[in-house]
Amino acid sequence: MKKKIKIAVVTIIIFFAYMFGRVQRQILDDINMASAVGYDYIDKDKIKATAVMPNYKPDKNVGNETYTASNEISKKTLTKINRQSSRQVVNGKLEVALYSKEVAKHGIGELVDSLQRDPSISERLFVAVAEGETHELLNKRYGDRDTGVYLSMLIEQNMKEGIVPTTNLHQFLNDYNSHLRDPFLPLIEQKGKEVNLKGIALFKDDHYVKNLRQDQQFIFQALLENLQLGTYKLKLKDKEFVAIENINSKSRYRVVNLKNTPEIHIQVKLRGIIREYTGKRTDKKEIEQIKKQMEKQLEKEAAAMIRSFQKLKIDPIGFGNHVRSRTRNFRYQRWVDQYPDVKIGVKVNAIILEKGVVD
Amino acid sequence: MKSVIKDQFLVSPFLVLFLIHGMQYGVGVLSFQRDIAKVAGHDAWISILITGILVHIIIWMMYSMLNKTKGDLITIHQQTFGKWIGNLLSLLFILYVLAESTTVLRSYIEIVQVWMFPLLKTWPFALVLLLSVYYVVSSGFRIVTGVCFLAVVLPSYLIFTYVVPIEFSTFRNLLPVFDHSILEMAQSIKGSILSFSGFEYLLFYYPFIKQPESSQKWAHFGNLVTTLLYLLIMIVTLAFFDQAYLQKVIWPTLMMWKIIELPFVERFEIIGVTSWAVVMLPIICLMFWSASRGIKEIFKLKQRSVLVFLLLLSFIVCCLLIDRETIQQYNTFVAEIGFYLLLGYIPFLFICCHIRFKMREKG
Amino acid sequence: MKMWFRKQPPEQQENNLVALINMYKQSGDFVHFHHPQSPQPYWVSYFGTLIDVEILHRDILPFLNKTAFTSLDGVKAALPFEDVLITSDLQKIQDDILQGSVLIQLDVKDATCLLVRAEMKKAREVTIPEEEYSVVGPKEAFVESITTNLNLVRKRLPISELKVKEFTIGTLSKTKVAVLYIDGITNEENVNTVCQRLSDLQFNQILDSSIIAQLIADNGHSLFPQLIDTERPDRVAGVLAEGSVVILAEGSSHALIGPISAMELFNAFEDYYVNWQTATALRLIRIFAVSFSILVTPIYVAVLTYHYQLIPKDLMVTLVSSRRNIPLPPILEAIILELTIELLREAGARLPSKVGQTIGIVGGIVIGTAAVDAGLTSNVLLIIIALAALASFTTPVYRMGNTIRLLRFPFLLLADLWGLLGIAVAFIFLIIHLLNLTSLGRPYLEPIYPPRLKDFKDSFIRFPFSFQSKRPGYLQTKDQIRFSKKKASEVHDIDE
Repeated sequence: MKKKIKIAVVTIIIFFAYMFGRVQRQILDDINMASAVGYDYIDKDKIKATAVMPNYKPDKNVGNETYTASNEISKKTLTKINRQSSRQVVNGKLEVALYSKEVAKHGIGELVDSLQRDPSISERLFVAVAEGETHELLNKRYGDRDTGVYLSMLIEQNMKEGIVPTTNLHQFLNDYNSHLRDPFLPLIEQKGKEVNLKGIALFKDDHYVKNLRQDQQFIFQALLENLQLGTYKLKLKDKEFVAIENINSKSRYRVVNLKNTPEIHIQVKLRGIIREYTGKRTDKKEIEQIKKQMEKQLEKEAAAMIRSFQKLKIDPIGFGNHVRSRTRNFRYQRWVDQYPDVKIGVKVNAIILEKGVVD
Repeated sequence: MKSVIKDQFLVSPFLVLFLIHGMQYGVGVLSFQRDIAKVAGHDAWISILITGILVHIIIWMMYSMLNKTKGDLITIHQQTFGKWIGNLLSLLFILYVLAESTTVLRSYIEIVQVWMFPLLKTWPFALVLLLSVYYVVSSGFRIVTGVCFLAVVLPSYLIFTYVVPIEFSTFRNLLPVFDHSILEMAQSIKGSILSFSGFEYLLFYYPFIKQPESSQKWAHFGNLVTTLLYLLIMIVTLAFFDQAYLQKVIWPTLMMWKIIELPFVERFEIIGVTSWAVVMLPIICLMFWSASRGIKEIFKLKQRSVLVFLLLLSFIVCCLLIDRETIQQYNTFVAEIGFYLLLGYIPFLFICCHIRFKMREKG
Repeated sequence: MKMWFRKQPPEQQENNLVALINMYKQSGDFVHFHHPQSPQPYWVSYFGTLIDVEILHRDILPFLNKTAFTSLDGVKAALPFEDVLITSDLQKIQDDILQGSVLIQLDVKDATCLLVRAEMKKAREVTIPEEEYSVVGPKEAFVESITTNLNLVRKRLPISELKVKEFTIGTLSKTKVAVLYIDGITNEENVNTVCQRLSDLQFNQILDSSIIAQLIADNGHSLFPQLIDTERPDRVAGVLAEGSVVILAEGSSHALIGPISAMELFNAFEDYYVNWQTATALRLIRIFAVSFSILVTPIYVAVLTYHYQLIPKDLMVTLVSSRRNIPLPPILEAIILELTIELLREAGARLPSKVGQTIGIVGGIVIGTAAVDAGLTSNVLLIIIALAALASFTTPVYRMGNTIRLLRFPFLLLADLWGLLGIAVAFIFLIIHLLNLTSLGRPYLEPIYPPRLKDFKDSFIRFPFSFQSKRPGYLQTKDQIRFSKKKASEVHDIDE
């Protein structure tokens, strides 16, 4: 008797679980997985969102579908897009989020919130700022994959090559939420049939303030992280130039005078290989000269760049964290006040390892 | 006096390692970093170390009491405070155990609801989980231990996942060391002791260990494993998140899993949440086993029927906790009690117990 | 209650031998004749279909006809048989005649008679094992005769400690069942458990040892085999030496081995005939294959139904485009394909082997391609299901293959309900079930739980024989030592 009751109870539980425990299904071929999303500025409280969704065809071709909607909140635009799409739109496979420069100038705080709150969004998502309208950028088809995957592959490839510093959603959110750092994002631009990486967009809190000049990009990266495969092009005096590749960088920070106004000394060590040289010969003297000039130029660029940062009161490299990690009882407010006047010196030490197979 | 437990129901002393570690390592691991870092900042890992040592002391205290009485919590209470007050105190303890088990269950279901299935109803899932709990607990303590053991061994591959986020970490975040006052450190212990809780169930299963005295080193070893594991997770978390960002994140461990990308699987957090079903199962099982065993001892009832009653009770409470805020309130309430129980009551009991024994020896 | 579980009421006791013979006469094959011409008249009765008539004609009748005797004792002395019995016990007479004895009486009305064993021994020749075929190693398999089978085992263990306990089970079949163990090695407790369970057995017909396996299993409702059946005498000899108990039954070509641990389901006996590296690799492959076979279809269903995020972007194109035109949800697609495979398997098993092969080809190639072409199933799932079916054949224990086949379905249903979480729930229940299982009272999951590091030497990994100096711990053998490790691992210096 007791056994029968037991069996009955178990059966009922299984039955109930199966009847009422159902959750919303998202069957792979019945959903539209947005792969890229772009935000454009309309007016003060309206934005236009463009979502790109790959359309997988049975013959293994991938098409592109773009949907556009405008509303106050980015989440709401998604529901609007949902209304246009024949399949449920999900954003778990989002690869790239783009903000037009206009949007970025007006602040992306609200838009970022939807990215960090939604658990289905990948932490490896690439966030970028686009020159011009993202709507136009996303509406085009590039390569043989859908636009989202194309863009993410483009950015990822460039990060691996060391052309832009590695940033993904996690790192962006880390900087964005941090008191001691300001975020930066890669800046992309559409040029004819292609998209290319134009530079680095710098933010103060959630507002875009300026973009980094291309020639400052290298030293910016070298100060930010240890480069593995950097490339640097150097113009020499008489219209000659030299390309140094496979640059391996290491930067060492030293902070002195912590009690009063801290001074930051940064030593950057570079090791690279000459790949292209328009001069005549690469002998010892020549190489020594290239080395010297490279060091000098980089130091100059770094100084200019840092000065501009201080002027704008932004800290994308994270000097603040370096000072904090060396200061007991670090006081945030004091640092913020001090920052524009802090002395930050960069010393570059370059080593040319090889010069290729010819002299 | 208590009846002696038959030899075939006892477990080897070294399994205490898994019982202690498995109970400590639960739902808290997914979210413990934030509460500690709130006060201790980047020194939160020191707080983990200090708490680990504190827990070692408490485990020593428990063994010292248990070795004297050769029984469980109920015997200690009865021998120290007499039958009536002792039983009342035991009952209160069991009530806490029950409340804690509901917390674990509900917290896990909440994680599933937030991270995997927003539309998952609480009750059918709770029902199925509690059914598996009934299956385990009604099979006896050996099986409970077995589940505990497997729940430690099978998901142990997750250790590697704590190493992956190092790629995106800045270990400079950890400096300078000892940048917080002693008061702040002491406050942070309150947050971290809860992630260590779970060792107190030793008070219930002690009589089920073969040569229980020899199991003490394994209990300490289990706590050591927990401490080291927490230390690893904490250090990686502190390096992975900026302090300000960490304060915003509710489940930092899950956020760290989100960054993991394997060639065949993107988005590891779903696998992590799934694996956690196995991790948290023995915790609920042992809690219910302890509670039902305790009630059986006090009231001389049948453990199986007590168990069914307790499961039903927990099920109802679980269904009543609907949204994040209520769950949070309930969790904080239980956590508050847990803190005073672990750091206040057990040492108090330890002192009382020893005074009582001293008096008895004299008298 | 079901009637056939009970002991049937004993047939009506015959009052005397005459009545018994008269009752037997109702059967057409019963022979009962009188020999008046011989020096001394006598009566012979037997079942013509049970005895070997040649023995009767060559060895019994000439003796009876030649010599004159006055008593049955004289007959007994004269007959060149060791198995001659003089009795008046009716029950004994009844049983013996039915098992192929010849009954000899001096007079029809005598209550005492003489019984001579002359049963017809018909058994298959010893052949090559089919279920547990191995490339290396001996190629003898058990047959349906318990005598031959015992002979095959005894040949491999010519020691006096090998003990055989006999039982007769089955109210109708009267099957002879033998319990084998080695005295001094096997734990008495295990032997007693087996003997106790066998003597408590109430069943009318034991047609095969697998029926015994089901009847004496610790948990009769479990899908998992709790006793291994084998047709290899070398395996039986091997496990006997390790300290297991073996059950043999008349008319069954399979021996039962117990107690076992779950790990043994992945061990082919061939593993001991190849070097340890190969054996280990093969075992790991088998374990992988089994988990793959159980989990892969449910994971497919779970991921495609709920967790699209998990799929890497490079795989996405393949997966989505293969499913674009499929009208069914993944769960139905998977269940239909699984059932198709099961259909093919069943059809193949029921048909003679040559036709069975054709079925396999027709099913595998024609139906598979057609189903994909028609857009009923995705080709990715087809590959997955075919691989899963293939993987389920790698288990050396046939019964385990069936378990895997069935185990997949609850996993599938739960995967459809809660995705990966459902698989985790199913996995939890499976683990609890396995933890609960015992084989002849010994934990089933050993050495995983209770954890015994020492027993890992022959579970996932087969360490070389020099590591196997002790018998497996879960058998709780009386004598743990298999051979002296010291002698085996003695290290000689160079050139010494």
